[in-house]
Amino acid sequence: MTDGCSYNQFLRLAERRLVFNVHELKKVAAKSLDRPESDVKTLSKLAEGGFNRVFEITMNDDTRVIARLPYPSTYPNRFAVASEVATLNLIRSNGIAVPKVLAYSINSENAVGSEYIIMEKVSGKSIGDTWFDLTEKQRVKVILGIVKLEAKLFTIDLPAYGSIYHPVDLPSDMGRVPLEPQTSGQDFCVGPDAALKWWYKERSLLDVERGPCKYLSSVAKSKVLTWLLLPKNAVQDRLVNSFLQSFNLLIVSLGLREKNESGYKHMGNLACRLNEHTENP
Amino acid sequence: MPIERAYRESLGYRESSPQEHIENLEKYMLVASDFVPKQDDLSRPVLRHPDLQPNNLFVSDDFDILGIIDWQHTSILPLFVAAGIPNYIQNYRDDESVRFIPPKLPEDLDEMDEDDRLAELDQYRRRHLHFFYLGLTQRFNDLHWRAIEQRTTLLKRKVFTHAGDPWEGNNVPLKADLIRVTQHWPDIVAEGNDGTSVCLISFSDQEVRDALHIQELQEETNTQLEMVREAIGINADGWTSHERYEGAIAQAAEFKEMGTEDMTEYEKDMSRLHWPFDDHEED
Repeated sequence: MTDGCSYNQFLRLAERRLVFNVHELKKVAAKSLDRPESDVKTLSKLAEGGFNRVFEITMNDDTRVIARLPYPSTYPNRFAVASEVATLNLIRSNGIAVPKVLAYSINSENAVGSEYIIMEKVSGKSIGDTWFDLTEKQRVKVILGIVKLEAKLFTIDLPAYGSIYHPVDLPSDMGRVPLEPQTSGQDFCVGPDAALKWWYKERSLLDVERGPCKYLSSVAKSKVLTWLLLPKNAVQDRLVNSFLQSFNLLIVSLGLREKNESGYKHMGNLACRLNEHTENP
Repeated sequence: MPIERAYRESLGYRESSPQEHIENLEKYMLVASDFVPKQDDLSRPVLRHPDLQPNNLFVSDDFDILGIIDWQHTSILPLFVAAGIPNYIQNYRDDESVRFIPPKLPEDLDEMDEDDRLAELDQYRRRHLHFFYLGLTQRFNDLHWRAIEQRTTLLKRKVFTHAGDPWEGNNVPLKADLIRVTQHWPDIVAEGNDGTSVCLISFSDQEVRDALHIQELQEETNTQLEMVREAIGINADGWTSHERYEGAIAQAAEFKEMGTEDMTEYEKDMSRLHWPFDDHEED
């Protein structure tokens, strides 16, 4: 059931090897629908995306749910799933059409053996296959749908930059900025930015601020946003420190792409180390 | 050397220095605070889908949107950085699209030969998407429109993106962006917070010529890569669905042949060594 790839096949396949407990996954899927395990008819693989393997679980009455399991190589562990779940919940509670989350786990040590999200299957068909063949009218209708959806998305009031989480999914000592109470009754906050590039490979080892970053009054604002405009965000009272840390993050991201036997155990001030290295290539 | 092999030719197959990239990042830090727009609401924290491509969009038979999937890695960013036309809808490489000219099919479309006709239809399709996205945004998403209509929005977004990307052996995108920042400084100041701000960075004439020239080569390569990827059905990481795998291998071979037809001997050799879709070392 593996999909092919055109190059560097072995590297990619190794990154995507995921061993998990199929039986337990079926259990979890059934439970998310409040049904007994015996109600599960089939589990089949739907797709292999860039970051997740996607399965479809069908019940005896043909109800279907989707299970998304991230590859072990998908960064950031825990935060990616936690943020996707909270983002979906927030957006959905604002009346925008996204899949409903039925169950999730950000702990890969669970019975299934992997982080997962169980969600309702979205109805309709993906427009991927017909995208190039749409008539003008159809195209305009689709774009109108997208634009209106974006307009709604922009009305959601957010107190900071970063990514969305349920507070319970963040380590208790991690900074967060709460959102106002939402109609769904769930709690939301802004936490570290979950965009892949801030965590890519060795960057994830860096102990730097990734957010959240609060929106401030004008003088501090441009400083904060300056810092934001680089990788990564600071809580206001640690501004200067984080400014330097983010610079280090950039330096490290450069240094780590160079061949270097010594590895990086301490992510402190790497400017010196990089200078050493470039002087003796 | 750049990880993306297609860029190596544009750099004359020389290695890039991380030190140069650090210097460019330092330059970025000197100008970044001037990017903050005058109007507060253009800094509004907003959510946008990280990868709004057709595969993530689900519709009814009537093309009503029933759901958008795949919100992994979603960031909240300031509007002026997040603003822009989604990748599958934009047509920024086309002058007419950029100038917001209503798209029109040529009158002699039916008299054209098949290849030309298909090319015209495709160009029309791209222009149509870009144009209507802007037009409808103007009507239905005023906040987004106001960010988009700022002249410097696209440039700022590019700088932000290139500055944050992991270094992959190619210094040119960020450098070229910063050069354009110096060239468009009056606009940046006009749309920023401090009307008297002086540009604190500069590049020599030679640097400017070299960088912009290489950027042009790389963007040409990008367009080619895009077309090849679309044609052989793989995404930027080289993955393709199982059904298309066999066909993709055959087509990659075909393209490799096609691509080398018009080149000199030297370029042919280099091309053979550096064809981007073969297995290669990732170090």
